[in-house]
Amino acid sequence: MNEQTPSADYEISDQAAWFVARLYSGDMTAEEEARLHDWLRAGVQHQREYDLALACWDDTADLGEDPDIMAFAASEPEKRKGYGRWLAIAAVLLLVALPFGANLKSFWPVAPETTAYETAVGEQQVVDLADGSKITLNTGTRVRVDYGKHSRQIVLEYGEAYFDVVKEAKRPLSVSAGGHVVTVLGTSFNVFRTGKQVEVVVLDGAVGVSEKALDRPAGTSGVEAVILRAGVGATFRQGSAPVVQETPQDIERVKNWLAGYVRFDNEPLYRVVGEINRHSPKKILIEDTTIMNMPISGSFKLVNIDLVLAGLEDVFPLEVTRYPDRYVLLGEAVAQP
Amino acid sequence: MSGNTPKVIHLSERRRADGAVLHSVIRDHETALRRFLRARLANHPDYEDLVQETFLRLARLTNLDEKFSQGQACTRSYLFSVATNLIRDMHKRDAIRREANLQDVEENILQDERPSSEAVLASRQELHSIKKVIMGLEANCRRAFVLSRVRNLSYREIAEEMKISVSMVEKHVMQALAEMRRKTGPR
Repeated sequence: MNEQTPSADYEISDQAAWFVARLYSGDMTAEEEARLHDWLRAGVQHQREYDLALACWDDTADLGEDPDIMAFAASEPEKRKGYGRWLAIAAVLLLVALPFGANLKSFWPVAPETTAYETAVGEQQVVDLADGSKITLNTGTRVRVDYGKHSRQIVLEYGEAYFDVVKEAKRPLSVSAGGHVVTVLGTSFNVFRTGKQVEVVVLDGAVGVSEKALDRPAGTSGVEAVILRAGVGATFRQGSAPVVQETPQDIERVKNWLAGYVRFDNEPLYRVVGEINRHSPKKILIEDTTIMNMPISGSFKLVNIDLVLAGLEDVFPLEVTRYPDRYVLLGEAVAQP
Repeated sequence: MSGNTPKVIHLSERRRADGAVLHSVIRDHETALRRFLRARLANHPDYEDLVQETFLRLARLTNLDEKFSQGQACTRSYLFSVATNLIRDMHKRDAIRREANLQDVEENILQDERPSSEAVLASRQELHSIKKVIMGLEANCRRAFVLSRVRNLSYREIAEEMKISVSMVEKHVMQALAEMRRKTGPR
């Protein structure tokens, strides 16, 4: 149909149907639009039939729910490009020993879908999971998410993440980090994994933390699960007893990083720089041994490392030299000629 | 955990990609979307809101580059169907508000926007009569209309799939609408 108006031989209702069919083609031109509005103005009956035709289109919105109709919508070989990308990626069977007496031999008839999420250094992101839970990833972090029929499994491969877990009694959620597994029903907690240790801080609810025992049947791990309740944190190292304590400062630190801040209270400079470096691909180096332990206090927004350094320079006797690939920190006294 | 490499999502890249895709979708389709909404709504006060809301719905999707890499025509039919649903919701809200204005104030406070059971029954009956009309259409006409309305394929895609011309597809859609009007509309 190359005309800009329907044939005058059509009844008005058919003309209206013609216009609506043109409208939904997606390539209505400016001229056709003008002709449509002319036609609508030509008579009250025209507007009425047009609205009725539109109503016919709208009323067919729910046709897709009808299986008989859907049978006519099915095509033979799927020709749309990119369809394969919309299919789930199946993962292999997992045989990780779960704490709390879980059946080692459980396997799913349908392989669960595994997805990994990763943030770059200096980046923070929230991931929404299918069950409504959320993971907030801190800088340079990677998690793997494996949701199956009987369990929700997450692996914190590296970095730090805050978990806001929706309660599902039939599907406990576990976060593995290093040699330890945190198991929850529904709660919010933070896990920070470094090479040497795993730090767990609970903000709401309670979690159980135990050592992963791959070679021992479940329930005989010898190390009991440590229960952590809200307001409590613990540091776990492989082979040594966990240190459990009430940690209002750690709770603060977690809340701060979630809000994009770091805050220091008389921390030695080298630790402050260590923390800031977690968030900066361009690293800060201290090339002056006399300032290593300088006590630093203050709140810094992590948006921009240059701003953080400018803030430090302002308040403390420090001087920052900016090179293309690094920052260098010296004491002010040393920098003066 | 051993086994297959999981699908890795680099969140910074995804965010950058989504922003760029959204930008190009707006650039390529805003004029057509506005024209579409003008044709549907003429001078309705919510016109501008609907333009914004349609793009906002898009912005909330993730994996935009996957969804919109399949060509202009597909993206446009998707946009039009999002907009059509928004218009439908708007009409429903307007109708509920009009009804509410005719009732007591106390009833207004208790009224929520979910349709009454009568309304649900009425719409189900409507759908049933529409379904009868569709099932009674000539096979090609029915196929073209269902592919367009249910699967949101563009006319060009339908033409390719059915091996007919685009103008035939438009004729089929028009005939389907005309039949529906004849069989279910007022005299």
